[in-house]
Parts: sequence; structure tokens; C-alpha cells
Amino acid sequence: MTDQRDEYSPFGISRFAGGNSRSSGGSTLWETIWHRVMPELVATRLAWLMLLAVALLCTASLMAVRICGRGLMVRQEIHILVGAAILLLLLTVNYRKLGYVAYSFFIFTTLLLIAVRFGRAIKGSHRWFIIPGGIDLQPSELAKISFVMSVAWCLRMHKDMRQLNKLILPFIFAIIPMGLILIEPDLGTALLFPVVLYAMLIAAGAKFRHLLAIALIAMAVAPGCYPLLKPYQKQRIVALFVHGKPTHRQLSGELYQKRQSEIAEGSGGLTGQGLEGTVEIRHGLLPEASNDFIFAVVGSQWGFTGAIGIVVLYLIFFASCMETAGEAADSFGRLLVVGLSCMLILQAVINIAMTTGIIPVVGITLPFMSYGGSAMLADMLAMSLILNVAMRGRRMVPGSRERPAARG
Amino acid sequence: MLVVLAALAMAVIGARLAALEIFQHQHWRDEARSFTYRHYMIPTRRGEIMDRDGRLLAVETPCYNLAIEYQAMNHDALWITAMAIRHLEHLKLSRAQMLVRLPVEKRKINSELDRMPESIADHCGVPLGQVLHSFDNIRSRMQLLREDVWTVRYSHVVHSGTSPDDLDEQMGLANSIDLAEAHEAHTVIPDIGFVAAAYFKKHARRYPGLVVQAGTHRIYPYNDVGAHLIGYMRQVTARVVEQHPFVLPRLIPGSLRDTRGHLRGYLPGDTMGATGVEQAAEKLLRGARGVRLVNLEGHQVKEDYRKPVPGQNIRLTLDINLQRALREKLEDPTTHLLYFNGQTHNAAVVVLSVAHNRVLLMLSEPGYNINTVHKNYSLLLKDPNLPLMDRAMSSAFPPGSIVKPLEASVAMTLEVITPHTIINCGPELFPNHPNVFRDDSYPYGRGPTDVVTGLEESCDVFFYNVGMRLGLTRLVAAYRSYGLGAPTGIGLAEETSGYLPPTDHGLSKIKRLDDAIMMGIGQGPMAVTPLQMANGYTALLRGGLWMRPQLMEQFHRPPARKIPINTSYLKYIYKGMYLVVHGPLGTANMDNFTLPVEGKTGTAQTAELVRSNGKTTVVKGDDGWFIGCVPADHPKYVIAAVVEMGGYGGQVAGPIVKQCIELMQTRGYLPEAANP
Repeated sequence: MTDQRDEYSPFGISRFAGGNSRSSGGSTLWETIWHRVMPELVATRLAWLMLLAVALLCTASLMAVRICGRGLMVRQEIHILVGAAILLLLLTVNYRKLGYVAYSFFIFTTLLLIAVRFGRAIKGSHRWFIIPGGIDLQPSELAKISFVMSVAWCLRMHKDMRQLNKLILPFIFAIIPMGLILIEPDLGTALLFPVVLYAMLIAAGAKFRHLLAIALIAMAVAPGCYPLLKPYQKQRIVALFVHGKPTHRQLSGELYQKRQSEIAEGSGGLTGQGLEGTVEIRHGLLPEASNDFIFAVVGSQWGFTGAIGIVVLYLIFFASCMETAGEAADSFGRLLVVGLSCMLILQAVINIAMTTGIIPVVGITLPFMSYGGSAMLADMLAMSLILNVAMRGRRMVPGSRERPAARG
Repeated sequence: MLVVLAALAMAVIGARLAALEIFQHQHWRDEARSFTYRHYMIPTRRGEIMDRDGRLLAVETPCYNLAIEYQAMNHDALWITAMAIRHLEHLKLSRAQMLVRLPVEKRKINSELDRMPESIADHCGVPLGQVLHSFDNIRSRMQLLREDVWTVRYSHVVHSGTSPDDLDEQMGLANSIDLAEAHEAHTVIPDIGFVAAAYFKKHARRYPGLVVQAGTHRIYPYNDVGAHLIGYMRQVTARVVEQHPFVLPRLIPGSLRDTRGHLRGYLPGDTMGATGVEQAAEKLLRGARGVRLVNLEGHQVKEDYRKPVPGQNIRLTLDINLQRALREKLEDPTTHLLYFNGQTHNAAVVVLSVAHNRVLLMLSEPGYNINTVHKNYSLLLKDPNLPLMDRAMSSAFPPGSIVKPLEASVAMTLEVITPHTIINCGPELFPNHPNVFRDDSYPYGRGPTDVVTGLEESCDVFFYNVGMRLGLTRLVAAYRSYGLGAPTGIGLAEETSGYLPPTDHGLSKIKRLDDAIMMGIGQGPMAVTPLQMANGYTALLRGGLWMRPQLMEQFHRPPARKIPINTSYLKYIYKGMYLVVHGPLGTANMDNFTLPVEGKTGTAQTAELVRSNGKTTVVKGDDGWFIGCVPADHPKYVIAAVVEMGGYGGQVAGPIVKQCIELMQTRGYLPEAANP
């Protein structure tokens, strides 16, 4: 066993390390990570690319968070380090084994979503658990992961999803957390679920006709939901269609956030204003600068160059995820990667579009960049699962007759 | 396929980014610059009040204010930690020692903050309630500023449809706004005095968060002289703050222009004039706070962005030294001016100049000390002599005979009587009814009387007749034309209008006649203030030219109004008034004035409720009036004096006027002797 492990040691010093370790009774967690996980990770071509992109995004995040408030950077560093530790821990377990707990995880997060209803409201919505010690837990972030895992687990056995009745269970998996998140209320996060579900269903091979029919029905119903929106949500939609010169009242009212974000980004110019960013950020005039509007901060710091760099990093990350999905040998792994990476890229697209004023303001975080423990934890979990598939997915499971699927 | 979709989406975003950051860069950078400025307020200085010679009656003087850091007041944890570290830094401890000592030091500071209100109250000599009230004021001042900022930043989230839960949450955001003012010290106790200031400066370590600041404080050098006229200050009420809030100008988002703000408004804890000139001239005295514009980048400060507008000085027509001298004489019991019959009486004196109708002197006895009015307020309120009331203009007395010259002038103009009308004055008006409309001063009657003798001897029956002939409507109109029954318009809010009955009232004919006869001698349903009477006499002396009395020189006065009287008859009235003082039977011929004086006495029957030992009794008595016009022939001043429940006017009010004339002579307002 020991010998076998040694050949996987990354730097050829593991024999020495293993010899010195307390390995008489079996492998410790550290040994498992060092001798089994790291070599595999290092040997995976796509993992390098993904890790590089994420590391750069996290660095940009730290630089941006630093000017948003005192002490935020240190806490964000802790978030990233804790997230990375959990990422490594989770890599010790094969993702196929994780699939068995997918449903339990789903039930657990659903219970959390129900429980959060009874907590204290913050900024007008029930999204957070307040845990003493300055930690706020946002269950909807975990719910996104559990949803993708459950749908992937549910779809893995079906060769194809060409029957309409086979679509019922995945839709139930989407609708339960979506409904619970909608009443929090958190419209932005809730809207991620159907889109990700569609991406996964397409990847699983559902009939385009069925999906189109369901989407058309949903689109027909959607405008009827407009009166159900909260007044501030309506205003955000109206704010999108305001053209011409806005009045002072609008500027200090419904257009304030959008305007501030545009000012922050626009003042960046081609090369940015430097790490100090613009005045309005330093003096707290851009609300939620460190969370949802962190892209505006990056825009003001690094200008067009930096902003485009971030966009390209996300694209690199997504492309390598898709490559991984294409290489995955089993459909659970493939669907898992498709779901998680679509979730992340969708969040990135929506958030950046919102910050640049293309779409209305919705409360969606920017993956790997927004300040916040829950979001970083969820992003790292997703990253961990994707890496897991990248590491282990290419090999056929013994006894399985599946062939590598076509690229997503 | 999904990669292509994502790339497409990102391409759209890239295009938008290019538009924002490259093509519109200049525009957005200008907008960002508009946020680099912030406004801070600069205190202003309240105007001073001076008398006619420029002597200061109310003045801002430097003083020490005790202020508290806002964070210390709220036990801000960060602030306490910072303070503890600052305390420990002096000891040059190692890092480990520091960590051990820090919680101990923090606990110490915390307990000191807990004891703070008590120790402030102890060392400044103020009640604990005042300290706590002042803390509340500072908090509500901050709340107001926060809500102002909140409206700018977050109000768009709240609408009529917002649920109460959400609304609470949104308003909660207002509390978390970090204001520059939250890091400043705010005044708790103004003017703590040198000793307390020195104490707090010396023991600064023992009182973390307390700061001794230089400030200004209003003092009144003449203490209790002219207190009613000058008035005092008090803290603004919540309603005033609501109606006239202070608003800092703020930059309009996305432009380099700013809102006007409201710099003359009030913040909780501000003071404003409560009574007298302090209140009447509040707008002029107050001034406006200034604004300092601070560029947050590079810390450039524009001090004179909006210069503070200092309050205007108000100059009164009053001679404060004359008033002080007369007041000293009145309060001295050995002069027996107000101390007689075994008790001290209350009185009011008004001096108006005839030419310009300026108030030279206006006093009310007893008075109060303006500098200590807040300390003694409850005592002053309980005092049965009502020292807070200005008897010269806020209190109405029955006038008695002093209305007779005014009445006679109108009666002769309307030819109800002529200068030569003779009326037989018996002891009563109707011989058949000897118990009504009596004249008790002449039990056997005094025979035929014309208007001059009627004034000289203050013959009631003569003026009963005049009142009866004029009738209620014309009589009341006559009094109104002399400005009775309405505020004279001196400009102070405390002035009362006195009382005259409505004439269009559905009274019976008998009752109207009854009122008219009684009002003919200044009794019945009427009451006047000394100021109104003095003002009516100056109008009479100017031949019917009625003007407003003037107290504040800056205040605009409307042009004079002509009373429709026939001036050719006035000489008879002047003659009658001269004989009141100098005639053999004149009602004031015992007063031995140092100058020839025209005048009229009045002795008005009145009654007042006296409350003692829980029992209320009615005490009957006479208000004694004397109005003197000096010097006779060409009067320059009208002096009106009234002694509450004093008795016979010529005996009690006459000496006060005499004293006043003597003081005016020594101060050069009147000649030493009559012109040869």
C-alpha cells in the first residue's frame, strides 16, 4: 500500500515523508491529501487552468475588498483559506460516493431554507442565519449546490430524457428551493434554478420540444407575476428603461445604485485609477460595494483592461469546465460539472451585466469575488466537485458500460 | 454550445464595458469628482441687544462648554478599545502585558462611562435630569442628520406598499449610517464656569470622552433691569425643529451643484428667544450657520464656502440707566414709593417721547433676573406677585378717570358737548336713584361744571353725562381710535390688547346705556395697558396723530394715522390737564412736581382674587393711575404710572411720576427749571 502510494507523490520526497509519518496504524488525513489527492490534482491538465483562473479572481477580490471597508480584507482572506481547506478535504472523497448523499444534502438544505424564514430579517429579507461571532450563513448558497447534485444524481441512470414524464422529478428538485428562495425574497438567486436546470436537461439529452413547451408556458405566465413583485423590484425594472436626462429625484432615488455603479466603472477609464479606486467607493457612497457591486470596484481600480481580464478569466474557467464535462466518463460527473459551471458562469454574467447597467439590479453575488463567507464556501464547494470530476472522471468505473459523452 | 453562449454574453458585456470605460470615461470621471466634496457646518454668532446709547443689554461672551464624544456617550466598543490602547501606550508595555491589561482597562473605561452623567452633574452643579436630557438632545440631533442622509441614499426602497416589517428594517439602516458628526464632541453643559473647566481639564484621564471646549454663552449685564423687555432664551422645542429644521446643503448626485439647504433652521439643543426682544427679533438676531466645504481628496478646505451670517445687533430706544435708577428708587422701601400701608405694591411705568413715540423707559415691578431665570423658574411661577408678567403691556387694568381727556376730545369734536357746556354736578347722576352712578368724592355735589373744571376735579357726573350722550357705539369707537382695545404694535409677542366691549352685540338698550355711562369714567367693561394709555396721550398731545410706539430701532413703522378730532378744542383739554396738577382743586395738586406738568389722575375701582391657605377671597381696592405730560405747554414726554391696588392715583402714582421727572432732569432729558 505504502509503495503504491509513493509513486504518486508529487515531488519525489514522499518516501521520506511517509517513512517519518505516523503511518503504522493507517493513513492520516494529511497523508491522504498529500499522497493521494495532490498528485492526482497536479497531474490533471485542466485543474491547473481552473485553479489559476480562480486564484487570480480571488486575488483581484482581495484587492477590491480592501478599499470597501476596514478589516474586510483580512476576513475575506480567512474566507478564502477556509474555503480552500474544505476544497482539499472534499477532494479526498470520490465524487461518485458523494452522489449517494446528494438527496440527504438536498433535504438538509431545504430544511435550512425553511428554518431561515423564522429568523430575523436583514435588509428586509429572510436570507441569513446570524451565528454569533460575526458569521452569517446564507442557506440559499448551499441549496444551489445540493440542487445541482440531486438533479445530476437523479438524471444519471436515464440513458436519455426523451420522455416528458421523466422530467417531473428534476423540475420538483428545482421548484422546491426556488419557491422557498422566492419568498425570502431573493428573486435573483431563485431565477438561477430554472436556467441551470435547462442546461443540465439539455446536457442529459432531453427532447428540445418538451423543454421549449415548458419554457413557453413559463414565459406566458411571467408577465402576470409583475404585480406580485416588491415595489423596489418594480423600480429596478423601470429604472432600466429610463432614458434621457434623469431628474435629481430619480438620481437620489431609484437610480442611485445603478448610477453609482456606472460612475465607479466609468471613472476607471482604460487603465484604471489604481488600487485606491474612486472617491465614492472609499467614502461608502456605492451601496453593497464589497458584495454585489464588487465588479464596479474592480472596474474603477483596473479600468477597462482589468474588467476585460476578469471577464476572460471567467470564460477560461468555464471553457475548461466544459472540457472536463466532455472528458467525464459517467453521466453523473458530466451533469455535475455542467450544472455547477453553468451556475457559476450564469451568476458571473448576470452580476457583471447588472453592474454595468445592462439589466436591472438583482441580488446575485459574483463567484470567487464578492465578499462573504457563505458565497465563498459555496463557490469553493462547487469548485471542489468540478476538480473532483476532472481528477477522477476520465477513468471508467469498473463494471460501467458507459462511454465518454459528447462535449457539452 | 454553452461555451459559445457564455462567450456571446461576455462579448455583449465587453462592448458595454468599452462604452462605459473608454468612450464615456470623461463624463463619468467628472461625475465621480462631484463626490469628493463634503459640507460641514460652522457656528454663527447671535446678535447683541443694546440700549439707545449702545450699552449692551444682551451679549455673547466666551465661556467653557463641557462636551462629550458621541461614541463615548453610546459606549461604542471600538472607541473604548482605542481609548484603552491609548491609555496603555504611555506605559510602554510589552505585547503580552498589553493583551493582559487591555480587558482590565476597557472594563475600567466602561465603568467610568457608566458613572459619567452623575459625575458631570456633581461637578457642574446641575441636576442629573438636565444631563440626561442633554444626552437625549444630542442623540435626536444625530438621528435627524442621519435621516437626512438616509432620505438621500435609501428612501427609494420604501413606498406606501412597504410592509411595516420591511419599513422597520429600512429605517434601521438609518441608524447604521456613519456620519462625520458621530466622531465629534457635542456640548452637554454650556458655560460650566472656570473652576469646573479647570477640574475636567486636569482630570482628563479620569473622564474619557469628556472635552472642555471654548464656546459662547449669552449673558445679560443688567441682570434684572428691563428683564421683561429684553426677554430670555430657551432650548428649542421639538415642534420648532420640525417646522424649521436645519438642513446642510448637499451635492446633488452626479453634478457639481448642491441643494440650498436651510442654514437658518434649528437643530435639537439649539436655543431661541423665548420672550421679549429676544423672541420678537429672533430672525434678525439669530443669523445663519456657515458651511465649510472639505475636499476629501487632498484635504483642501474651503472655509468661506458659505460664510456664517452673524446675527444683527438690535438697538433699543430704551435708556437702561434711567430705568435702573428709577427701579432702584422704586425698590428702596425708604422712599415709600411702592412700600406703604405695610406692604409692597406692584407697579408699571412707561415713558414715551411725544415727538417720535419712542419708548424711553418701560418697567414693571416686581421683575426678575434674566441670568438666573431658568434656575428660579418654578419659584417665579409660584410667586403670587407674578414677576414674570410685564405689567406695562401684558396686564390690563381698568383705566378709571385717565380716559376722560381722550373722551372729551371726541365728544367736543362730535359736538355732543361744547367747551362751554355746563352740567350741574350733584353727588349722583340720577337724583331719583341715589345708589347708582355716584360720585363719592363730593358727597354734597359741586355745582355747575364745564369741561375744564370737570377734568381738573375729575368730576364723574360730568363724564357720566358725556358717556350717556355719546352712547356705547360712539364711545367705544372713540376709545378704539386712540388705540385702546388693540395691541399698540410695539412688536413684542407678550403685548395684550386690553378689552373693549363689542358694539354690535345684541345687548338691551338699558344695558348699553349702563355700559356707556360707566365707560364714560373709565370703568365698566373695559381694561387697558399702561402702554396703550401712554400711547393714547401722545396722540392727544400731537393733535390726534396716532403712531405706534417704537422700541426696536430697526423695526419698520407704518405711517401715522390721523384721529378725526377737532384740534381747535384741544386747548381746553390741555388747560384742564394743567389744572389737574396746578389748579386749587386739582386732583394731583399735592405732588409738588419740579416742573410744570399737565396730567390726569385715575383711581379705578377693582377687585382681585387672593388665594391664601387654600381659600380664595375677593379683595376690593383701587388701581392708582397718573399720566403726566412734561413739560407743560410743549410736552416732550408722557409718563404713565400705575400702582396695582395702590389707592388714590394722585397720591400713589403721582410721586412715582415725580421721581421719574427728577431722574430725567438729572440725565438731561428735561430742563432743570421751567422756561422763564
